[in-house]
Amino acid sequence: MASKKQTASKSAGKGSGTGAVKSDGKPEDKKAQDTKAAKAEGKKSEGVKTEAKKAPAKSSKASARKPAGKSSATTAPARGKGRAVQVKQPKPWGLIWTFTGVGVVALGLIGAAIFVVWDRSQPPEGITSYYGDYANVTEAKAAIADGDITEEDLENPWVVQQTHVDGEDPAAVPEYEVTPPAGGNHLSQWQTCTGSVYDAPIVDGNAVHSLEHGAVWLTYDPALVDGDGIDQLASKIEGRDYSLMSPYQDLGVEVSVQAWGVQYQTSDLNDPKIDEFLDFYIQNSDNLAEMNATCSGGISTTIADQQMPTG
Amino acid sequence: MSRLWRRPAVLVAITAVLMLAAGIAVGWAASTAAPGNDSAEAGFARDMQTHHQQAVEMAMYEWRNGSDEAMTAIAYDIATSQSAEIGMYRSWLRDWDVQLSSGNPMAWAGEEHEHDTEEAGGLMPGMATDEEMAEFKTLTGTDADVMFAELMIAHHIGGIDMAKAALERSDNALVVDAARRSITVQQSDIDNLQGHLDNILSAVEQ
Repeated sequence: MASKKQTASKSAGKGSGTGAVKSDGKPEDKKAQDTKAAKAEGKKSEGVKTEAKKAPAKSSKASARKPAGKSSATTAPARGKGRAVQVKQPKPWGLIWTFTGVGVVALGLIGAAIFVVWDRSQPPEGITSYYGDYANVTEAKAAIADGDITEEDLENPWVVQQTHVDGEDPAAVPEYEVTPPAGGNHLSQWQTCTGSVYDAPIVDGNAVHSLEHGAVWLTYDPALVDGDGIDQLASKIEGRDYSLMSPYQDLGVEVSVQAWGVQYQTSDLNDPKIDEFLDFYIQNSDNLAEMNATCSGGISTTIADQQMPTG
Repeated sequence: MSRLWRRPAVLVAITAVLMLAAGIAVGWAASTAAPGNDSAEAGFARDMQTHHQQAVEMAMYEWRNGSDEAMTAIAYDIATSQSAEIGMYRSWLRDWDVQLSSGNPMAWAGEEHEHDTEEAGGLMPGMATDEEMAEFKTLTGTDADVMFAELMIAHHIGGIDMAKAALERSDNALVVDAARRSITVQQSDIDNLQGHLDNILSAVEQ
């Protein structure tokens, strides 16, 4: 045993001169050998049999701490073994800090990812939802499909009503509970909503059909918003598929944006919530009353256009 | 001394390798979890694109040849939205790496459906026959509006039947979501087609 040790330390000494790898490897071997030796020693001495088997490396510490050994015979071999096992290594702080660091960064990234995903699924604050206890049209419809509730139990049953109501009387147009309307039964024609800016009021029943197709409708009060303001609002809509904009008489507030079942009104043309509303609700997959429908191919006339032939 | 910086580096490398292995394992599990060629999911997606294709054909004809504005509007809506759904079904099939067509339509939906489809010469539930399509394509104006509504209502009833068969057989999130939406949209289409048809017919009577 002693000779082995000597060989080990010798080669280690040599190694340190030739290369770092060698010098690092050799003491490892030495340590292993020493531990083996300690084990063998422990087995021989009857007193520490069990301790040595369970944890040969720790046993030295444990027995050393004991103020009074069971017998001097027990303590002595244990101490000898302790020296053989290893000089107590300093805590590997480098290792601990490295892994703590990696762990903290990993948890941070996971947390951030979860937050981002969650945050994206949250509608902008301050909007009016007509879904009552439900988050969106999908949840409201699922509750009805599952038989949990009926349409009439909803705070606003119109959020799940999508019938075309062009009656036999062409003059009969749907009436809406909220102004401007944000969903409900509508006319068979949708208003073209391919980033369409209308300079005159459009028919509610056509615009609601556009909302069904996943569009956001921006309306403004022409009495409260001037030409520059209109241009500013139009720049948000032009070129943006699934959006449309039109003046709305007697709106009473500068701007009102609506998607199916939701609405946001503001007197500030620079309100960032207008853009947030557009970003969040255009083709929102959880709030699509009708999936895969288009904004093209609808009607692109205003109320004034439609009245021209008769009036 | 060298041990202190060297060993963390080694362990970090080992951790990186393990994480990479775990990532590959997760990817592999996810890819093997994709519906197989004979699954109800793949069958549903395959057959729905065929089924939708005929609806698009009918709707395109009605859009060009019908006269009732409510009816041509709904035709436009059906043609465009069902075309988009065909794209969705195809991308599922490609993602799942399964066949895009099959010689056994409706086989995924149980023996009864398969049998009915065979009896109908390979036509899935609600699909118009070649004769019906040929007749429809001779019509224009109000006649086209009326036959379009009748054919499309039958077509949609069959489509709802297929979506329900998929719901009974699949818990794949994509399929369940699409089947559910498809049922509500086609049901509301049926109501609207019927409403417009009634308006046309009552106008004709007067």
